[in-house]
Amino acid sequence: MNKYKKITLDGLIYQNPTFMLVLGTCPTLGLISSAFSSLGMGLTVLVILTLSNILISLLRKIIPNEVRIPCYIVIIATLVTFARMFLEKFVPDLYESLGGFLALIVVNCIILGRAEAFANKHTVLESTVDGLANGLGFTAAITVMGIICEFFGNGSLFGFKIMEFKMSMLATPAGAFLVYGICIAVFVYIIDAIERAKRVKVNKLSRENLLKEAA
Amino acid sequence: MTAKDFFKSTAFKCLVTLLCVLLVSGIFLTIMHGLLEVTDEEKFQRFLSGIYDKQVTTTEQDISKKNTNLSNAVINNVYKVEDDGNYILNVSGKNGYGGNVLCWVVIMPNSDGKSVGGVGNVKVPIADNPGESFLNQISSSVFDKFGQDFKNDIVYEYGYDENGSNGSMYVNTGASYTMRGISNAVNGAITFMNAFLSGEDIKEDDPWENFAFHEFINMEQTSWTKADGVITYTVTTKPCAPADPFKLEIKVGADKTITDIAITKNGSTEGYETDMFNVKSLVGKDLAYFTGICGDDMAYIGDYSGNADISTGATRSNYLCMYAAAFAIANYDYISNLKVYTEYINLDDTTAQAADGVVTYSVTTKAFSPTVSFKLEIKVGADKTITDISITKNGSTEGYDSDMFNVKSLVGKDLAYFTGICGDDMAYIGDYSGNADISTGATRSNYLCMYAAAFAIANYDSYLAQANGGNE
Repeated sequence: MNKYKKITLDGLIYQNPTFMLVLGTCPTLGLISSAFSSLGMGLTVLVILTLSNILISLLRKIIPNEVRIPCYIVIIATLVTFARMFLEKFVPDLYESLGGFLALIVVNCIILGRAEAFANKHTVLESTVDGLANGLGFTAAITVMGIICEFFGNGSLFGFKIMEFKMSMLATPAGAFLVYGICIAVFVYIIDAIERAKRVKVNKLSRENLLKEAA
Repeated sequence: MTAKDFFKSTAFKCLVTLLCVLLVSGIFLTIMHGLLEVTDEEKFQRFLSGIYDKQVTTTEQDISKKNTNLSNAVINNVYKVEDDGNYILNVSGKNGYGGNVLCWVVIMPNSDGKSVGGVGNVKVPIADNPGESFLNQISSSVFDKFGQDFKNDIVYEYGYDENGSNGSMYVNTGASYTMRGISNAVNGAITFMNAFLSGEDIKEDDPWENFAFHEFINMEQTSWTKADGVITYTVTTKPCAPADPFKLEIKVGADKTITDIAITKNGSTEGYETDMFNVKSLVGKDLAYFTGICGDDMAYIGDYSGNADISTGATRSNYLCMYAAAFAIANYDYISNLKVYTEYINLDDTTAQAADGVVTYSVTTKAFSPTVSFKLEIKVGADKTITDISITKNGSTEGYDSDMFNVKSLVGKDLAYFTGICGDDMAYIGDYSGNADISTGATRSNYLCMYAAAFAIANYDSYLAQANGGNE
């Protein structure tokens, strides 16, 4: 398999940071009561993750191993501070809705995790693809859960009223926890089913080949 | 290790790398801050654009000569919108969850422009209120209610009432403490604008307004004790330049004369203390003596020549001592009847009767959300201990009454027992873990009962004197 395809599929599906690795749980639970906030958080993380992967990959041969973690933190914190300034200036509504979670991106495990596990061992191009894939995986996951929570919790979608019926509990962090768990279960079940189907197909082909050879 | 070795070492490389990363980050963020900074003016314009679709002109109003520090809010800025005549106030509402809550409030004046006619938009920026962590729980419809509920002369309520029922919808937001701060901000904005529009000013709250002759008294550093009809004051005066503050111990007897007086800290300008009168000469003097010298308002008139009692060469020092003495006498009655530990007591629904040295109280406490008011029968004996206590109305939240302590366990307890648990000021500190006497699972209910008991003991003398026809 093409290595870029593998990196992309890993970030999006097989090692999805939210559903498979259960990383970045704090903003996930705090923000998924609103689809707009979820999407905003996802896109912000996508940009910061991609930029931090690029910078860390670029500097991987310069930064001594002993101080790599402090350096990564400084780089990520700088990018997050820049993102805060940018959002406050140009997207104030999103800045308001993200609140304190924006600053918490500094300690988001996905970003530091990808820096440590991937970007400091791979080329700039590979790290960029990894950042984009993981960022998209996180954005997709958090947005889907945001849509579910907002739809059932508030009866609206991206702020637009859809229906009067609502289950307010789903708009709270406790409800978000419930939705998160269900989503993980469904996601893992689907991935598992696909993998099983693949295995069955491979086994079937192997059996047919063996029978052919025997015949 | 030589200098050359150090510069070749990993430690040096690490140091340089870290410093470089920090330097580049710092420079980058400095430049970005310069380019992307959101000024207060820009924030204000954003707020305006959230209210008006079109560009509007505003003029900042001069409030520098007004009292902007109200009891419930601080008024930071007032702007007049020239296009529609409304006012926009930047207000900090007191007593939010994390301190003051910064709000923008639109006030619409009446057609005559002399008073407030309505409340418009209320906005509470999350970015300016980092301490209000539940702010996003409050939906915009709650803010709209301020305008809808406005009736002539405010007041938006935000808490539980005395009976524990919901005072208003403002408490059901999921962020009731923050909502209290916001309600305070809106109430403060209305109060201020009513005064501002009518051209008046709001009188500054004086917590000591009930005390006579306290202009030259530092009330924060003045205390007193009562025993056997004698009030012993520790009075700290304010300065009367060039004389510095004095500190005096003053005793006033039941006949409202000075029975003893002594200076514990002399504030005279250096060399002038010897020119002062002998303060002991004030013993036996009554209020008429002091007002006879300084006038009925005890104001400092400067020229006391001709009165040898005060004009001894250190007139200002003498004046401060006389003022302190007059303060002590003039407030004798008030202090005799002053009740302590009243914050959680509903005095209007509290009675006391004395017989044979025992004061029997019927105390009604205030609500302490979510606990509602309690009613207790308390007896305090001559030794100032609880001789009997029972709850006649239990204000515990449903299901919590069984978690309360047995109130009869307070029988025999004195004031020191209660202040030992809750502190000398009997303030609720929230965390009583480790004290099994109060932390039984219904801490607030227990606290209200203890507070009522402390109130009963601490005011024993006062109620006994009242019952005996004392110093009313």
